[in-house]
Amino acid sequence: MPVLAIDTSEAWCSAALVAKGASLGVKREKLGRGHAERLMPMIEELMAEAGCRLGDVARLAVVTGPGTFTGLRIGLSVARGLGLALSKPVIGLTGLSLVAGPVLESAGGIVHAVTDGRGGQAFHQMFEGLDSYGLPVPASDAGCFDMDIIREKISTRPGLVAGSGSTPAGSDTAVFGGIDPVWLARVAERLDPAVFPPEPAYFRPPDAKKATPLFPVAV
Amino acid sequence: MTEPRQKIAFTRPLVLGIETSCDETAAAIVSADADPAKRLVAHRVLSQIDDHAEYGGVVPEIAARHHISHLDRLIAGLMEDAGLSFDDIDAVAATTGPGLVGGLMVGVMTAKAIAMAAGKPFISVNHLEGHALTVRLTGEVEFPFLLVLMSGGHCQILDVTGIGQYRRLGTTIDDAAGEAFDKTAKLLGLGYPGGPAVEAAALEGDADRFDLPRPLLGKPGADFSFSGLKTAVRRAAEACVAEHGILNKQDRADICAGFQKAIGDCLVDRLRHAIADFRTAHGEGAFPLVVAGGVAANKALRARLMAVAEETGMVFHAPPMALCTDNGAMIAWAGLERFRAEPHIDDRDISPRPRWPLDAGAEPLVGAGRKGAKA
Repeated sequence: MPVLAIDTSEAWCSAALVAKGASLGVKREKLGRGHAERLMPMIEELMAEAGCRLGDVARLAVVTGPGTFTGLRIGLSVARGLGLALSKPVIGLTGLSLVAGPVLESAGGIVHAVTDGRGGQAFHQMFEGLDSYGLPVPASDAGCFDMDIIREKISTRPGLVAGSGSTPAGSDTAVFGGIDPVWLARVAERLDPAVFPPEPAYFRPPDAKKATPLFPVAV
Repeated sequence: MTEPRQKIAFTRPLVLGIETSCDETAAAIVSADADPAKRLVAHRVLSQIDDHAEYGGVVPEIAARHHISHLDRLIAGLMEDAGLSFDDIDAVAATTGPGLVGGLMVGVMTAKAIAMAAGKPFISVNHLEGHALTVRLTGEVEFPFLLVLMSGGHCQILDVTGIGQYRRLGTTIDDAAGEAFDKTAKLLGLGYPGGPAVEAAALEGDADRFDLPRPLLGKPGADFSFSGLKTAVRRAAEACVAEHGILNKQDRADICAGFQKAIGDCLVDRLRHAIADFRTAHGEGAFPLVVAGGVAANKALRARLMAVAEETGMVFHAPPMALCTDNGAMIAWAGLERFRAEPHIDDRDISPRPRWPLDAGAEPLVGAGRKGAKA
């Protein structure tokens, strides 16, 4: 029974179908925008080419964030909508752990995952090693930071840097090819849905200002 | 968990509708039962009012966060209420616009995912059409009818001749009527949502103490403008504060009463013009005058609109209060009406549209360019 993984959290629109650790098919397109229009046909194509029906899917996996506002909503809505209608569990993992995972798997050591943010900020989390499920082990709290803070974190505990924010974070070697949906599906196959729910991970408060009265008012 | 009730034979089609365009997360299932009282199979609305109150209005990012965190569970509960599975329904409808794009995206993509998984068509519904057709869900209202649509985000008078057949007779050139209520409430420290708060304060006030403007009153046509009234309200409040050092309760009540009366005078004047226009197209006769949107829940304004209907020989209709504000039933019903009219409909290629006037062919009155007409 395969796992269907989808990622629309940043520039890429991706989907993969994995069963018992083996990829049955994968689609990855760097779109920038237009994920809402592309994702559903992409899933249909993926299923058709793999010779599977949606009803065959045993569970879903999705990136919970950080990422673009619209991209996260698209991926989470589709994964949760499919999970609801198919009565199948949905696993949610942060983009930071998914950026670090494949790098830790191949290189080990310390990995700084950095994902683009807005207004000169980025999202950062440091990981060291993989746990028994193959998930990166956090070595710092995930958060949204100014870029110079992130550079300082990296220089304090040097390691590999990965993710869409690698270059602004000072890495001249990291090449980010987007989150790997096959890796997401493979690790999601082993996880407990109750522990990894598809709840959005924003790592920052919403943009909103509390209302302040223009003048004193009797209450 | 309650035992699902025995499946009864619903009159098809059965349509699931999802509404996430503003600050209500809502879903409903409706059937085509001949008896209007039996059409609404189940509905759930999760209001976000408390989440936005401290900000004095709807914050788009907070609204979108709320929708994504709650919509799937809300629909799961709805299906349980109805005792139905997704296989039992015939189509999935969602609001694709107009509205806040973050929320629209959540509703549309959730609906498309459910439709794809269940092998059902997806139906794109215009939020305003949902409001327009609600009286046909709860009663027997025939076309043509005159629609007064007044809410926090919308303010239009339309000649409705069929599903998807709208002619705009009047719209606002700045704020919606409900928006004027919300902004007035915020200015006067009455909190959010402003409609009920201003209405309650107005009950204690003297509507004639302040001389507030009635923008466009007596001018030809049926368009609205409320920004000048909003400015006048601020000046009146500032004058009171300058005198007493604080806006006291009586001053505030008098301003609210004056404001509500001014809005009412504008509505009545504009509506009379729109009725004359409507009658030019359709002739004499006891046509329905349908009032929809949150402003229809204001008792004082509702009474004034009813008086105009009586004076002009129109028959007043308004949805029940619970269906005046945003809800899933209106979206499910508009989807059902479209599905009945076009049985092979599938709007899977339609994306959220933050701006989507009902009368798509009309000259834009406000706004144009890439995003399209605002009004």
